[in-house]
Amino acid sequence: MKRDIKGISRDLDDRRNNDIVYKKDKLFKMFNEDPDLKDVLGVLEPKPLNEYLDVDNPTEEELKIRQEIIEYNEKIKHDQIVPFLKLNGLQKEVLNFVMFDVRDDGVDYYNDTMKKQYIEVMCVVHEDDMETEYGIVRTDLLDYIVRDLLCWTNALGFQVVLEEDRPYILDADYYSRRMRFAIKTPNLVNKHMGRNNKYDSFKF
Amino acid sequence: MITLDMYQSMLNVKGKNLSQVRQYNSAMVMNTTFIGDIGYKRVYILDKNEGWRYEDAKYSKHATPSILKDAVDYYLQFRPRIHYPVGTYVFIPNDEDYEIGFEDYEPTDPFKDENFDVNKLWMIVGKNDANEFVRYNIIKCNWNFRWIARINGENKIFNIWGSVRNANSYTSGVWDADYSTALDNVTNAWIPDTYLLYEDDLYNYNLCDSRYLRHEHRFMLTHNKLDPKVYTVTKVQDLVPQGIIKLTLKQDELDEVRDNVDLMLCNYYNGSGEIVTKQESHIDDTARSYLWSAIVDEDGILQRNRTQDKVLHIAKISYFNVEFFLKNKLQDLNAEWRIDYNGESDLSDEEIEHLCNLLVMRQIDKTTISIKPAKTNKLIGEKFILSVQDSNGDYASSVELEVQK
Repeated sequence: MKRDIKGISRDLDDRRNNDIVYKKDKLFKMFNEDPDLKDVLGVLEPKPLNEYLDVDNPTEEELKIRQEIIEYNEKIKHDQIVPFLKLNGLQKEVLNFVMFDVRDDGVDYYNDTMKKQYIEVMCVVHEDDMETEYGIVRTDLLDYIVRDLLCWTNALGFQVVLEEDRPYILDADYYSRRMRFAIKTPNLVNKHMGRNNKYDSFKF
Repeated sequence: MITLDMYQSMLNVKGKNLSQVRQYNSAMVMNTTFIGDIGYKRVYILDKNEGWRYEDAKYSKHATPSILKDAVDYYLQFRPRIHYPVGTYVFIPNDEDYEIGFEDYEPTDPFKDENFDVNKLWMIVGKNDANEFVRYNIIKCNWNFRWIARINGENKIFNIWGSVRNANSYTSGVWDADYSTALDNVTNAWIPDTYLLYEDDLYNYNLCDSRYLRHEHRFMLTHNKLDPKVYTVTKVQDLVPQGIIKLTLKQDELDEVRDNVDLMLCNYYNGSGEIVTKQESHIDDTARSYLWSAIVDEDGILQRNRTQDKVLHIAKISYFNVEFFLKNKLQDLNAEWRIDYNGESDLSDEEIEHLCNLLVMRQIDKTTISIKPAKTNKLIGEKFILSVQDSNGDYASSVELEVQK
């Protein structure tokens, strides 16, 4: 058997290459496009720019204020929907996050073409920001939105089932709720190739 | 002729035994030569009974600096038999001039005086119980601690001068947990126990009661307004030495919603962006204020809404701007906003508070705010009053708003 490794050509931008990449991409879009998730996460709206009295001749004060607003709008840009279970570095402001990842955990006992896959979602909230204007704890409200989006959905291929939903203390400053959704999915890299590796060539 | 009896009578005046006589004589010498010493300073000190007064003192420091501590020991010695409690504020002239800045008068509140110089403000932190010529340890006050505390149901701003000290913190400054990284830094602070020292007289001297500084209170200890450093009180030791409260402070994050960086006050706003302290109002008839609604155009620029919109929509942001005029001249003032319920009177206080909390207010700049009603149908049809005034209460305006879908 020869394996033509040098001739490998991949389109790394194609999300469908790998089911984990595909599902995480779908989840990321799903969370970002939800109209309420970012609001409950406390994603700050950028400040509107100040108006110049004379558009062609703004004063120094007006330009200074405009620059401060632009800097502020840059500063508040944070990735609060994170596609892995780790916050990078020091979070110096009070921020909340939804983190998620996908893991495969075993194949089916009778049919190893099917595997059990888990989607782990953590809603991480800073202790100073636990209260929402609704009087509902922020972790619970985020939990509701995530479950509303994912529970029993077929958007990721097979049906997603919520298996676990528990509170979790991360450290002195953060609390979270951690959800685990299970999905049974084919254990295949490429559905057209089935249980074969495409680089295995049986030419001699 | 001096007789033995005369000599004995003289000695009896000065003391019951020879030791006391010698102490009396040496105190007399100290008193007489006091202002001749090179370390002599005329200090301004706060006495419990007499208020601020001038006092003679000798200023000295430990000759050899210690690398084990964060400061050299400084001492103050008063005339014989003159004592002040630990925790007392004292102004001491430095090498720049012989006086403390208000030598021609005696201000009753030197902290608010225009000649106040923090570089001359010290605090007594220890007493050396020597046999004679008692010396006091003093440290320089280097920070004005400001915080908000609740008294009788009202939030008030407190401030007290004290000293930020170094604390041994054998960490890198951050701590890595399983999923996150947190700040891990401590520092110390010493402040006087004002109620122990002055009791109710502290209000006569315009001091704040330091007993209202408790665990979880937060300060901004920083000169950097671009990246302010915030600390939380985690330990309060007020027993020993009597008169000084020692605080341990752990670094915390800035809360962009609740903390006011311009005023260097933490927890100035509540979660909805409203100022938590009560503002006194006294409307001035010559002052005018105009409250406008504003919209953001397609270029992202905020512009006044000429149609004066009085409607809020759920889950949508509305902007409001105020202008303060005095005799037709635009004033540069900070606006303070407030939302009150103006609907059915048969709702309970908790229900009204809940409805008001559903309107999330955010300060955009000195005179502009945004309001975003929460995404709930409960708000549809409800009416609120949005009011604004300046920090002195000279200007005031209000408008009724109704929430629609």
